[in-house]
Amino acid sequence: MNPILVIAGLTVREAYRKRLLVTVAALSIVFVAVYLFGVHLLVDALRSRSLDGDPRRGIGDQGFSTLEFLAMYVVNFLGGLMGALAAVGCIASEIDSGLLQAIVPKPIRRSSIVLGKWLGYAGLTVGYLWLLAGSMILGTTLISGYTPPSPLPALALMGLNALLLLTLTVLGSTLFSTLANGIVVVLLYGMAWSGGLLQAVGDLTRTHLLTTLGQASVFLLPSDALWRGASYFLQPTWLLEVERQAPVRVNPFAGLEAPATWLVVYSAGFLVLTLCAAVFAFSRRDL
Amino acid sequence: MPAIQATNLRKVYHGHPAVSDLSITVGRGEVYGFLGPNGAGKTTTVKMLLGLTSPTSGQATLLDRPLGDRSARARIGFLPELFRFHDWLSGLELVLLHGQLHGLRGPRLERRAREVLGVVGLNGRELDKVGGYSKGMQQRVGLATALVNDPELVFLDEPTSALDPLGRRDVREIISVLREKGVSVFLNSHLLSEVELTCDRVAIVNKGRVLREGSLTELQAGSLEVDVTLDALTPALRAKLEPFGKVLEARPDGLRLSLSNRELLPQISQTVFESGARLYALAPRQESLEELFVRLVEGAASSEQPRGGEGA
Repeated sequence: MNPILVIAGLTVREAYRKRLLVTVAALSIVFVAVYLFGVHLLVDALRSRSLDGDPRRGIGDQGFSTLEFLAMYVVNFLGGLMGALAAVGCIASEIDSGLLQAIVPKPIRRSSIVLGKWLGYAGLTVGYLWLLAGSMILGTTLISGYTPPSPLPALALMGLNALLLLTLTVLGSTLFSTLANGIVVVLLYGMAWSGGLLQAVGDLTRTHLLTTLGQASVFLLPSDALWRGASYFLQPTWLLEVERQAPVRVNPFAGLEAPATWLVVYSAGFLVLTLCAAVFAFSRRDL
Repeated sequence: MPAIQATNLRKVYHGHPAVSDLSITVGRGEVYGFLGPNGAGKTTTVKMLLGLTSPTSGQATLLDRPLGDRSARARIGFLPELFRFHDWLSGLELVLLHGQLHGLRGPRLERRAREVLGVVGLNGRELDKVGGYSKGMQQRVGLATALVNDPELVFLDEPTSALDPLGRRDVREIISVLREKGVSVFLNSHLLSEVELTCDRVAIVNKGRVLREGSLTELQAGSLEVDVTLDALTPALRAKLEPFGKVLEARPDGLRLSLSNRELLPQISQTVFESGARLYALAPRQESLEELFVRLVEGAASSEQPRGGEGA
């Protein structure tokens, strides 16, 4: 078997054996259950107010889309955090413990170790994100009948965001200690996030400098911009139209335009270059 | 064709040389002892040879391939000094993993994994988690991972540090089986008695340099001492005995000499006899590896003192 797949399989097995999967699954089930219960309550409330008992009549869909939008916002945040934290010590801790000393002299490239770990964690992170988001979207549809306009591109962009953070963490783990790496990646994530908010506040208050700062943060880490792209696909067309017509920005967490092609290309390039840097840094490191 | 050939290997960490101009040759099928005090650069040397650390300068070949060559690494086994493994795997799973990384698979790998676990004495415990093993068992399972690919060259870095006397004997037996199979073994150790019992050739290193390299007999040659006990050591007799070798100790009733070869022994007895002195004992003694080691390492330390250390 290809050594990348051996290492990726080992990574997934480790997450399973160390009960990471079970713990995350248990907490996620609670999260999804609470959310779907909320959807159920909303259906009941809207149905009782509707003349013909249809909860989606009038602006009913806005209730569901807002609830689901907020849930996806949290899921996107959790996916990014999962990407950033699950792999936080994937290389550094194994260098410190000496675990890699028996692995690196094997007849495999060092890059296989980095890529294998990345692949394993990528599967776990994106799998987690999609399962969580997918079960919420599907649950909402089953309970209320509401489906967001284009969930698949939204899920793809959210997955890309989680992968970006994961890749940054893997790079950090080849350079820094586990603790320093965790701090660096979470700080970067926070900066990208607040950068997006700066831009929203800049737009709202028509402060040009804030908008520019927010736009610049996209290049540091396009995390928030990806979310805004994903959010576009999650909002009904009529709602987007209403928001566009509004004199000020209604929802500071939402994007009103489809993500630009350059953003997706930039993010994918960012990911590939970061991964290459991780491979390069690890292959030159003395163990 | 040697199993290991290193020429002027050098590794500098932050301006301090851990290994300086190290040159060694390990022949095929040879059990090679790499001896030195703590901090002598033994582990750094092993790390350079295995590609864990890149040398600052110098070259080496393993199994006739340059350092880092993957086809050579496929034929090498390694037990690191800090044997830390994926302790959430069972012993069998761990050995299977290392086999897979060597490109082995299927029933052949499974058979080989069980075989090496038997060789290291872990039969019956192979399904237990490595994390639940004692230190000695962890070292044994590490040895199994080093042997799973049926290597031609094995690096063992302090392989018995966690083992009791019985475990040490087992490892010695494993090494002698490897030797019979023609496997080269690079044994990094500071347990001199063990090296004395297992190794064909030895290098004694200190401060990143090889102080002496050779077979045990070669190293111990010239280290013959003789203790001559007489009724009385007269100045005249002492003058006659001094040319035989360096006087290590002189007493009123005799002296201790360092000899270059054992053929001098009958000549000493002859000289004593002809001088008319009464000879009570003529006791030759070979220097042990430990004495040689202490002498070389301490000698190297004291000879370096006047130069003010080995800084940069």
